[in-house]
Amino acid sequence: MKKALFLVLTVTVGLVACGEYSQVPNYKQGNYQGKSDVRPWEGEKFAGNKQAWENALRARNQGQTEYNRIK
Amino acid sequence: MLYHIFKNGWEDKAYIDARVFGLDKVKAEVMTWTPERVQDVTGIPEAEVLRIAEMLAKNKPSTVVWCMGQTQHTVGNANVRAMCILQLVLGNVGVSGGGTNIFRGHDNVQGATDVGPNPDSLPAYYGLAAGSWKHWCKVWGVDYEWVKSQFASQAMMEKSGITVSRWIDGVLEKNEAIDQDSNLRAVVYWGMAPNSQTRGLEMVEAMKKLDLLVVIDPYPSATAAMAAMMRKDGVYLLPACTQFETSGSRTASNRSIQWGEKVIEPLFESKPDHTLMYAFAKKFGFEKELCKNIKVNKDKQGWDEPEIEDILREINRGAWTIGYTGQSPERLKLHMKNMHTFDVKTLRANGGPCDGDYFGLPWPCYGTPELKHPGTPNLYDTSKHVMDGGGNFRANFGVERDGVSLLAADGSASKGAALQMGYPEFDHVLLKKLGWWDDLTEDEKKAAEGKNWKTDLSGGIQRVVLKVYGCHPFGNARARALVWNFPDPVPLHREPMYSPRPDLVDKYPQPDDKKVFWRLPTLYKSLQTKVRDISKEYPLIMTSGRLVEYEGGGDETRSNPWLAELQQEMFCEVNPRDANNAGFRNNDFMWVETPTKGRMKVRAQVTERVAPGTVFLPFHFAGWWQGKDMLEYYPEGAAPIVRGESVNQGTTYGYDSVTMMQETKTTLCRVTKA
Amino acid sequence: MARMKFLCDTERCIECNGCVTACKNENETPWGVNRRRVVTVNDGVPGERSVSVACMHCSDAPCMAVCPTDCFYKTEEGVVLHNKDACIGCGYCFFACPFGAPQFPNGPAAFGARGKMDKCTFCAGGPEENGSKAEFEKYGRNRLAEGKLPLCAEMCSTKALLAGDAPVISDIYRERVMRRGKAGEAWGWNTAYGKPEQAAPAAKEAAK
Repeated sequence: MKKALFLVLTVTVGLVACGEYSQVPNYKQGNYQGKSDVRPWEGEKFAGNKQAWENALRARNQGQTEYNRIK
Repeated sequence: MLYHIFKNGWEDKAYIDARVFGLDKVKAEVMTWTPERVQDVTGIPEAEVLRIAEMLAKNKPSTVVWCMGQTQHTVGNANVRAMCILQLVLGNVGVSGGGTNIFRGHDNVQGATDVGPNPDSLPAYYGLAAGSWKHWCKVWGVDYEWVKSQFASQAMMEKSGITVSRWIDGVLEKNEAIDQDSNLRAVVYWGMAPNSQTRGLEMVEAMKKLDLLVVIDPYPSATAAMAAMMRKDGVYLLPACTQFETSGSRTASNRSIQWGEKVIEPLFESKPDHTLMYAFAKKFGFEKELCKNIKVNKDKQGWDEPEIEDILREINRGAWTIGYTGQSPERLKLHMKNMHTFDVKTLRANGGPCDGDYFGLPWPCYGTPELKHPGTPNLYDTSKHVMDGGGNFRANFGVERDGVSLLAADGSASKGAALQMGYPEFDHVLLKKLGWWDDLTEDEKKAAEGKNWKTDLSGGIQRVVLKVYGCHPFGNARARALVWNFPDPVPLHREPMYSPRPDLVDKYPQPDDKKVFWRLPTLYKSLQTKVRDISKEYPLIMTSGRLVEYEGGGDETRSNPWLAELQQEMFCEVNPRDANNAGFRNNDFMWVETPTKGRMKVRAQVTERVAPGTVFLPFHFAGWWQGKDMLEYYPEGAAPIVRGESVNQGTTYGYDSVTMMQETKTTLCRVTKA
Repeated sequence: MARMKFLCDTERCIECNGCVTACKNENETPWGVNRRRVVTVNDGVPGERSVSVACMHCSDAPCMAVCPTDCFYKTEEGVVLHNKDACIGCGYCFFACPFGAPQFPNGPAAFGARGKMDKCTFCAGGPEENGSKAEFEKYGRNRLAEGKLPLCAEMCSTKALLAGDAPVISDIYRERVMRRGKAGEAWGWNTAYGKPEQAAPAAKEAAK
């Protein structure tokens, strides 16, 4: 019986390892139930314009590589 | 390192032949420093010295950077000259990426130095001779005779004063031993930390003896607390505002200048320095003379505030020696507004309103602002035209010495110069001889008659020499490897005052004592001989220096909670070996005791950062005295968050033989568990 | 779009603590609460390296898993945030976190007296209105909502500390590695698991 259970478990675990799965786990138990937060582009500055926010952030991201300055 | 460079023929022979004077004498001394001798004195093995020498020689250009580690020794002047000679020998001076870079410790130290707080010079390194006074009187628009009448005598007016490192001796020394009429009776601490100066135990005695002590600072600072420990009256605190509460120009280590704007109005009752200066002048009755060319406005509380732009314009009108003349407030403000037009690699504006300028117009930025000199990014660089920021070594010491020419060799002038040879500095006589006089306008001729490149207030001589003929106003000479007017013309090793090695004291002694040196008797050999064997009692080498968290004496930065949290206690770095021998562990309290009888209770930081036999202490701390917290001596609510022992209670006597710089970097101590 | 990450290039970190000070300044955290710290390994010996550490905004965050009040949530950008109103100061997250990120204003006090947990928010505030005073007082500045990156990284003088979209900052880092010819010596596969030649005997052992 024990042996069978062990086999079943290894097979299942083995199969699971082959599949693609999300890297961000979803915490089912409990779940966040506090205040809901808005998304960063939904504040005063970008007023929901996600594209503008992404552009602003992209520029900031690129500002961190000084190689851009000498290209 | 020079030994290995000469031995392997790595020196830049063509450069030395054309642009350096007196290297043969230096070489003779260098070649006596065999690797064995170097290892005996410095402890550094041959392989290490050779490795670094080779790295420098084979990777050109290379630069050498230092701060106070080279200068704060009795042989500081020799140390810095040795470094400059190293770079000259490698041909690394006057090339982009080369040179010697001596970093300043604070915002605008360079600017402060340029306007002349040193007791041996008027602003812009003009010296104190009568001619220098007359030049500046003309710039200030005041009568020379009137200025003279403010001094006890002309001799006092032209005699170098007491340096800040020695003010305590100006107070404590016997009156007949000092070279001025009276001892110092009043001292003003203006943005200066007492705990950055050596011999703290004697300093509080000097503070006790003074008639008057004034502290001008954003914080009451350790000065106030030290004085309060010794006396109940005669100490005045004047609140000065910070750089964020006023505007003005600031000069960086690379001689470039930035314009800072006021961020907030001065807090509480604080005032900017120039307002306080004007208030004093008014009280003393010479405010008209102080601000002859400077507009005076009322600030919001009705105080008189001299206009900061006008102050810079006055500096521009007088500081011809170092080319502090082209950086008008208008040009600097234009640079700040158009920062984005400057190339981040060359620092040169590429198009735009500042086209061709180097950022911040690093001095020398010769001529009037109208000449549009772009500033000099690297000193002595002959690969560029002088109007492009090029240059060469200065002819400041005559044209020949002992039959050898001091001027640069033919063909080694800056790019495009009309004179492709060494030449002396320019004055009205030389200009006439060369037939360049008629390039001056009639007005310039009037102003330049009888003047030279640094006293001609019209800037005509500089304009013609630079713009028309592409020459350098201060001439084109050789760099001096041999400085004949210094006590040691060739830089020599001399053991520090307090040496751990009596045998080396015998071999490399200090020079004889000086009777009068910057107005004070100064001990060298007699003291060194007296303490020759003191390392038996105080076996460890004690050195001091800076931390990244704090700045200077630390009164401002230790009052800032975000910085103070990072370094909450004064500590001493000790090698595990010495800590184990003394019987304390990391983070224990320990005592550091020095020959001055200074006793400092600090946290032990047991670390491999220091070698066995050496301890390191940071100098930013104050507010503890011989193991006791001085909290009660600070004005209520004004004490810094973090207080600790000041290392300079324990630092010993010892001064550089040229500059009078204090010897903080090496003395002796012993450590015990507290 | 973005998945926000920090990356500290230990070959560049000079232990100046500029990031720590920038963080304290921007978020006005009290004395004793350090959302970011610089850790130095092999201090004072050749090969010494420093690394700036804060909340790593884990993909699978242990703090989230252990929190008894489920006060944590993860934003679309992968930033781990928490709701201080729900925090009971139990300290479980502190024990769970491998980076020591959770901080407590009252220090190591007894359960319930520690105060509400505070940690790096990737300068993204918390579940209050973006940019509001309430948000600033509880969680610090919300720079992300201003279209900016965390101040620690943006102020890093050597650009050792990078912050931003994971693929972008890994590209920046990768380009650096290519240019200087080496990766980090303080962290990474070789440091964690030994160099290949060191790994070989162990692997052989395992194979037996």
